[in-house]
Amino acid sequence: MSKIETKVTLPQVFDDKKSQQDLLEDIALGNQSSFGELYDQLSSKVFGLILKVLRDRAQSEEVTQEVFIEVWQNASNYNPQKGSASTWIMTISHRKAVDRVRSSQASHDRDTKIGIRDYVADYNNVEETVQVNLENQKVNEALQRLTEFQRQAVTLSYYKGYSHKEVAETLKVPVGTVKTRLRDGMIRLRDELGVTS
Amino acid sequence: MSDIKNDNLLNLTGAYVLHALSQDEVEYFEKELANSEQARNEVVELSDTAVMLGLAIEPVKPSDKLKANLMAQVAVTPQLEAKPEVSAVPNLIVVSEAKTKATVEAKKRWFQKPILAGIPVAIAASMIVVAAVSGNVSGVQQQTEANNLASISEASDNQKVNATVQTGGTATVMWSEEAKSSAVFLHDIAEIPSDKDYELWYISPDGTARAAGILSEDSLNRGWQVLDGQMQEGDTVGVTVEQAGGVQQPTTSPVLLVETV
Repeated sequence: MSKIETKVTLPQVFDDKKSQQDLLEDIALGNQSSFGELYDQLSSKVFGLILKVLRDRAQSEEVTQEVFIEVWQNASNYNPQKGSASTWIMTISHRKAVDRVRSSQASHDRDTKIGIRDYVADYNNVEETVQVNLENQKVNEALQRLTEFQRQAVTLSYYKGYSHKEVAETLKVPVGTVKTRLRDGMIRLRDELGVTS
Repeated sequence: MSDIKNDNLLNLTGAYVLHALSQDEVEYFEKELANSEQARNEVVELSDTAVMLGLAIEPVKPSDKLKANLMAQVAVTPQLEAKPEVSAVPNLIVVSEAKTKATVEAKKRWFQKPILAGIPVAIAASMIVVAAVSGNVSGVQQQTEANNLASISEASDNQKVNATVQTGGTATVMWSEEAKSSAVFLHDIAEIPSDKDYELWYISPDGTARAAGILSEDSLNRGWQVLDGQMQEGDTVGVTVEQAGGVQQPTTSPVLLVETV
């Protein structure tokens, strides 16, 4: 079935899908309905990421709520020159998810109650632990081009919220080595994905 | 910056953007970052790369309740440090203490009765941390309520007043004459016995009370409720503690009164 191309210029009033940057500017002025619209556009991505790290749905919703409240409160401090709106919000999301993992650790209930991760994963289980099924084929392929060690270090820290010390314990390598691997791995990913500033 | 120090700093960029550093290391890194343009540029690029890892995950829709909670929360959450050119924040109504009428003069005939005493104190609801509680209200209804709330908070004549709830905790009443509607936000209000309910009222200037719903468990959990019925000019919003299920006319003294003028 062929698609007929039509060129219709809609009047401004129908152009209700504003860019995320425009929405953030409105939000900085206190516009609550723009906040609702931005939430509609990004909440599934934010929640998907947080759920990936935390696994627990109730906690993930709490953290998602914290993320959007931070967006509401700090919208006027968002600087489009430093990156897109989704980059800003996804970075906040990951940081808050990791903060929650760490605070769960502090209260010692993460393994028994929440099961956020298998803390004593031995090396043989690592390959399974870092299995991620990504929707995005390009990112999947880029990850495959890392060395096995780089990929494990990057995925354990990003998708599981491991600190570099935990990555070191899990992979049984010195912390300094992990830092290097994380950097080398991220640089390789950057180059594979063609990210430039 | 010495080359060795710069190398050490650069060695941390990957761990930094993946949020894998300890708090101490983050503080050190961010402080030192000011001295290395190379490290700053690398952090920007690697942060964007990390975000691509995040965006590659399958999106998952959170519950509708979460949006309702958030919309309610932003309606009462001040924003931080607006830039100078956006200092006029139209929707953020500053609560005027002068307008607070927590206790209104006893012109309404049923105000004279003593305040209900002996209600156990407990945290019922907090606006700041709205816990993810499983409610029994459907998503559609939640959405309708959130929309009703939005129609008040987005009205140009929207006003808010904070007041103390006499049985404990505080409340914010937000209203709009344009929308002919009002909502009450509750902060740490006292839990009441299971055979009692908080009941909401619109009270006209002549003292006639119109029932405006009882506070549901969902509302207590999320911390707000839009009043039933239409608000009329000069109405006072009131809350009383009544027998479970509510009554036609108030039988106890109000624990909260706010004039919408």
